[in-house]
Amino acid sequence: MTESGTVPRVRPQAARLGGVFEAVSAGLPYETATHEAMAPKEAIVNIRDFDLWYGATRALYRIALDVPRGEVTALIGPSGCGKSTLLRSVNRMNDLIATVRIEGDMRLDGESLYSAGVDVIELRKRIGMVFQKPNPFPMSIYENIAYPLRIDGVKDRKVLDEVVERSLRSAGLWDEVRDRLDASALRLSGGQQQRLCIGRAIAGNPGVLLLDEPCSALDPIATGRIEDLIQELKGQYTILMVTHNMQQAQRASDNTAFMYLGRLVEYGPTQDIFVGPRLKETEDYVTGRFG
Amino acid sequence: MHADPHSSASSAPRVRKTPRSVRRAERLATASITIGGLGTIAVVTLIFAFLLWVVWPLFASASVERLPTLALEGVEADSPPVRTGTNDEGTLGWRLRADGRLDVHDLATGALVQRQTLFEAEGATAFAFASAAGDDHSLPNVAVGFADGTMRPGRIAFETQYPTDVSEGVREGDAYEGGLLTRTPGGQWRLDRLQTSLQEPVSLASARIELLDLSITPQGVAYAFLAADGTLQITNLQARFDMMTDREVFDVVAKPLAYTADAALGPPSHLALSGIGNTLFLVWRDGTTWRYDARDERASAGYEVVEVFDMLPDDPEARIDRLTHLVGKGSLVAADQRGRLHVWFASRPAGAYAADGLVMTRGHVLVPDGGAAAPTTALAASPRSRLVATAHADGTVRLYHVTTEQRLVEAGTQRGLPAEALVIAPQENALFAWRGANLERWQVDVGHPEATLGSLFTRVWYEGQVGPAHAWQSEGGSDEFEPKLGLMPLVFGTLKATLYSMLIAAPIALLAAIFTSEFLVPRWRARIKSVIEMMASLPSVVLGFLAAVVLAPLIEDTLIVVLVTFVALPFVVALGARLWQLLPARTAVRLEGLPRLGAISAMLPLALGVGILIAPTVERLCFAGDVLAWLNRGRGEAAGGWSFMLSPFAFALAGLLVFRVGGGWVRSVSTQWSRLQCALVDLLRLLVVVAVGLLLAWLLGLAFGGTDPRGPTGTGLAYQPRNAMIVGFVMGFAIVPIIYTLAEDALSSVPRELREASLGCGATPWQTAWRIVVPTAMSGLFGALMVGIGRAVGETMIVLMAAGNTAIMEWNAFNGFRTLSANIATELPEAVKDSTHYRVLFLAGFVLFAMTFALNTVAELVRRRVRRRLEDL
Repeated sequence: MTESGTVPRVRPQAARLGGVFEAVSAGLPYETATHEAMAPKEAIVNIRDFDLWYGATRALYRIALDVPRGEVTALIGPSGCGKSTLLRSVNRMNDLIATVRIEGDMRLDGESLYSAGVDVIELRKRIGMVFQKPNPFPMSIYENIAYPLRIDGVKDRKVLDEVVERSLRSAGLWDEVRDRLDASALRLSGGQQQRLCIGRAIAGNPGVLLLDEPCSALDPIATGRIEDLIQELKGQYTILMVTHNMQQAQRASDNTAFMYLGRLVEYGPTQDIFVGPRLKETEDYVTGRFG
Repeated sequence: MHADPHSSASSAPRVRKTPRSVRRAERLATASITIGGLGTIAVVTLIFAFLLWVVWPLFASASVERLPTLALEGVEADSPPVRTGTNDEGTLGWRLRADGRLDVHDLATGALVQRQTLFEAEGATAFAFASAAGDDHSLPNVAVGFADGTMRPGRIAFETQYPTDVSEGVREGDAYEGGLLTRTPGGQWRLDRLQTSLQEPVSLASARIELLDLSITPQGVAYAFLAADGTLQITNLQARFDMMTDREVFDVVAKPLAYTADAALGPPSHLALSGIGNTLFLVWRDGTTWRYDARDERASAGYEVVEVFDMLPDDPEARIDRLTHLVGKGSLVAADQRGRLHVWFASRPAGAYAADGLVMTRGHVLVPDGGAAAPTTALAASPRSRLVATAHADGTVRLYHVTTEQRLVEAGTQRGLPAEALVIAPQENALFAWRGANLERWQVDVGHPEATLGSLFTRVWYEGQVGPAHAWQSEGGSDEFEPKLGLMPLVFGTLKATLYSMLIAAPIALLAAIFTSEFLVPRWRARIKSVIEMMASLPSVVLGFLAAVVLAPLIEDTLIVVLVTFVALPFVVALGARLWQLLPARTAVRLEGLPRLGAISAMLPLALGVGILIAPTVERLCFAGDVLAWLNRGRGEAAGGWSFMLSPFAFALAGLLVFRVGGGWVRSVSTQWSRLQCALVDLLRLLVVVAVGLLLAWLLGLAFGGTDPRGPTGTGLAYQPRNAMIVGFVMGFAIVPIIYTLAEDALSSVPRELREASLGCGATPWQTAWRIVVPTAMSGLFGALMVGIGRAVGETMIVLMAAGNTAIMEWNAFNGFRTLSANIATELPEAVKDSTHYRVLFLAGFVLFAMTFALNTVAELVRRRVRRRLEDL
């Protein structure tokens, strides 16, 4: 957390009610209130001074975030605050948009993601992603899960069978679909489809799972199942998730990052963020007084 | 109703109400949409019904109605006619007796209209009649041979006059000056009268003329006769305009034929001189036939028998009752004693044994119902088509169509007495049978006997051909020409056009669609799409014109370059891709947009350059230095051609070998290599593929070299400048835009989420495109192809101008073809309304309609299936 002597800074401790938002709205630089409890945790993804523009529009400002290994980290914030953009920057999904320009650095296991020689294809194999809307391929359940292996050229049926079963078990879907692995994935319910997508994401054995509002299209029961699944998967996988649902962030995540207008406002253990946030703005947001 | 805007603020909340005008507009819109929709359905149904209505009479069967028997005035029951005839309308009939008496009767009443003596009774021994010579008034159509060896040619023909000086009191139908007087619709008098003339005797032989025949030849008239002393001769009277006397004179050219009377055979019963008077048949009652070939004009000695055959080969007991030529005198019809008709004509099979390369073949046998009938008493051929009528001893008459082997009509006479003479009225609307003093009449509607489902869609044995074949040849040089109305060559041509244009268009359009939707930046996608769509705005007549006038001669001159470029293009592209990999990663990423597109576009001219560069070498190695000569079998061996033809296959095989078999190993060792090293190895592998492919192609050429793909000399693969390849290029160009647009839409409509999911799994853009996007868009891509095929099937102008329009059935890319659509466009303006030809052209349109309809239906079914499978799996 380097300081610049010339640029006036809003000290979190000194922030008045609305002070942070005002500063942000005025375009002043702002330094994230990162809780000290985050410091000892070992990070798998390091984001440093990360800026992102869509054409002339700036979407992310100086994001600095360390995602702890094996834990669930939730990104919260009002719509348009840049949560999804930040998430999609981690596996360079934003590359698909022609006008995107970035600055700053992002590292996975210490390797830079945006340096010139990086093979995006290889990078994405190490990061699984689950999208807002369930997006199973129009193939069989089996082939959906096997897809990451298929594209790597794996043809051994035994290996595929094993990975499919393991992934479906991990995704909590095995018992429901074991008899109809050859059925179309599009026949599954929304919640099942989303768990299938999680299964597909982990079939490639990634270190990090990115979940982009994975429950926003699901009913409460399916949502509950996904949240349970997230609890089961953490430890083995590092999970970075975007959510609009405060309760979900509270229930499912270990750490929470609150974003606003492209800035990361406050970042700390979920308990602290929800029970004792440093900033009034964070408290207002998580208690629903603002947002 | 409307609240005042100023007071509305204070008044109660406004009650919302739909204005009446909105409701009216709604009703109007509903009504007009309904009318439009129903109207469209009605119009399509009407078009369909109209096509059916025009086509339907083709398949209606012939009908016959017997008219009451007429007693012919002044005719004795026991003086049979030598020959009878009628005028075109079938209102007057003549009847010639052996003693020279010629009677003309009104065929509606039986009244005697005219009686004359054509020649003096004594000595007439042989008669010959040429039915087809009717229209040329200067040429004889009858010849009479006499006992003193002389012959008198003459003419018997009806003529029509329009007299203006008919006296008062004469009524229609009255006998008038030896003719029949009728009123035209315009109120004029019309007089139909038989005109006869007989020239002075020509001395042919010193003995009695036994058999006589005459034919109209291009030069004049040919007479053939057999005299009692064994003289067999063809005498050509060739017309020549004499400058000195300012008159037409005849040169007599006598062609003696070798004939020795055979005691075992006895005297021949028939003599038939064929078409243009240079082939003569001597026929005995038992079917034995000698064929003489007198085509060689300069032969000094007598012409010999070139072929001996039995016209009734099935039954040794059979005998010929009657013999006649069909119209055009190309076919002989022999009626045997069981009422069967045997139709013989000359064909030119590959292994003919006769000296002139021709062999007489029995193309058709027409059998009465039940396999046999009573002996034939009279046989008549129609003067304008291949209809033949027979009269039998039991009094029945039958009408056949020879080519399609149909029996159209079978009818009996009132008293069951056999006819002595039979005539099919020239307009084919009536059948007349003379018997003693009576005339039997039938009104006939033969319909369209040459068009049956069988003759339209299966092989038909046409006159002069070696066997049944599909053929389309609707018009010929003369009235005697037999139209060949097989639709299969046209259906074939349509399919061939579709195949070749799809071979060009489908890969280009689909790959272009995949490229623009999956690999091109969106900004450029929109521009390129609109450019390709602009291609569709070129009128097809312009494309056809360019194809025929510019492309066809150009490609004929540069055929080898075009062919080599075809093979070279994939290599140039593969090479380009590998060279691109050699670029540093940073540079490659920076050049990904427009420069890469430009580099890809440069591949085609580059391939053309390579083609130009290596074409002479390829031509020398594979085609003995001249590909056109090679194709025409002028020179070179088959092996070189095979090598070239199979080279794409060889290269594909080599690629498969090198990349599949060696791929795993390379992949396993390459993990540690740098980008540059990988690229270099890839480049090396491509070179290995080229080398292996060349070797394989050479080996394949050797392996197949034993069989020649070029077919017999002068046919087969010979090159026609307007051919399927040209059509493939140009029609392919025409249908690329439609396929491309629809395919691109289908690919673009694949949800972005699926692409993201695949890329998120670490798939490359190509894997994403091939494994996810293309299968998901499959039904749309299929639909796009089907629309392209539909366009190709119906396309007219391009094929009309660039396909050569030869109705042949060969898949060869260097041959032309004739499509249904081009055929309709060419021939319909010239077809006589309601003629068989006209109706068959409508049938061709109906077939085209059915083809596109079937295509669309199949496409829709497959599309649904694919879509359902994607959902169900």
